[in-house]
Amino acid sequence: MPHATPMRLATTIRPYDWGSVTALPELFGTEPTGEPQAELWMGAHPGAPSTAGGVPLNELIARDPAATLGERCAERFGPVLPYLFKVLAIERPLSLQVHPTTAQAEAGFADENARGIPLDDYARTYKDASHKPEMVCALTPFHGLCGFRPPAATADLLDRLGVPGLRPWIETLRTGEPGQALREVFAAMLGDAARPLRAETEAALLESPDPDLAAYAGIARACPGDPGIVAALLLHHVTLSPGEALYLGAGVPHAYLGGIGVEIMANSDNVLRCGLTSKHVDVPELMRVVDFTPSDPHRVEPAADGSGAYDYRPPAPEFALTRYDLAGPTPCPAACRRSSCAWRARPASART
Amino acid sequence: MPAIVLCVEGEARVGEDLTLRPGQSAFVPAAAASPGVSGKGVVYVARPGAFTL
Repeated sequence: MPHATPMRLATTIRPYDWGSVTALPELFGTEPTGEPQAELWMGAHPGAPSTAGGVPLNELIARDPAATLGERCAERFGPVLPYLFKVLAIERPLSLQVHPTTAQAEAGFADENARGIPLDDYARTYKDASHKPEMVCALTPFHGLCGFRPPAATADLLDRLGVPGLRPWIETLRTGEPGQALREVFAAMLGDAARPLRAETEAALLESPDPDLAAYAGIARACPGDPGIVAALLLHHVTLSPGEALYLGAGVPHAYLGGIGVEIMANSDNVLRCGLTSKHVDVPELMRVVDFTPSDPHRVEPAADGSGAYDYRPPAPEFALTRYDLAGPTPCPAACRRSSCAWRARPASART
Repeated sequence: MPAIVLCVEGEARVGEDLTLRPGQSAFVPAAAASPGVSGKGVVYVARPGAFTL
């Protein structure tokens, strides 16, 4: 049977400017190149497919979806690997961003195609017609921004900056209907009219000794003058210890800020950005896609079986992740009794 | 299910012949019959989530 054995992958490292120069080399015992090593990609995304035996994985899968993906997976997701797997090594903040729902992605992708915007155009927003749920699992202490804080709590935080010009936003956040107040203030914070107030707030952030503002001051130091600094104050600051995971569904604004983690996502590149980046920013479309409902960060608790397997099951059909702490020669799953084992989860007759 | 195995620590053996060290990864096609992962270290296995046809 073709493609019936494990295949070593040759992978691509993306040199985005926010990446650490040394973190991946230190983790993997390789020589630094002097360039940032931001993302190691493992998968079949046409933008940077891994190769097996010199053949791009997307081509290998397209040649024989049944053998490579299994019939059930190919029927459900088509002849493509449904997920993309990465290692992130973050030195500076990533963009403040959000991902669309499937319906939004399908509509946006069709619209940009109809308007003749090439897929590789700088101003192209929708690169494909898929949603892009994602989950990050920390390998080192990791932190980021995720989801809107309840507006009254954000009002209190802004108040502690002592910037008089922030009063109208603080008042809106304290008195308005939460979703509408967040929408109004978020849009105002990103608008051109707020440029002087953003500069004043940024200066206050940099001088603040308030520990609750320290992460946001760090963003200001890393991205001076960026329109996203003040909007970031509306979002929860989340920290992950090694082994902890965070899920990000459609519409949830977020920005990873630092640390090393593995990330798994649907096989898509649909990202709408509004700040902390030199990439294409599309605020009007982002405003249409953002869910302005305040929400707690969606942490994913792994199911542990007590023998070193930790199974992360986020609410996305495209992907799941298991960490195995291998303690010796006992193989998994040949002698596996773990209920969470990736290969043992189904009876052999059901594996496709 | 199609899986990708990533070694982040130590050394892991995937199936009979493939040894992974930190930063190295392997694709396990669906047709591969339960290859087994052994060794001493930490690996992450990515795969499709639970879905119903």
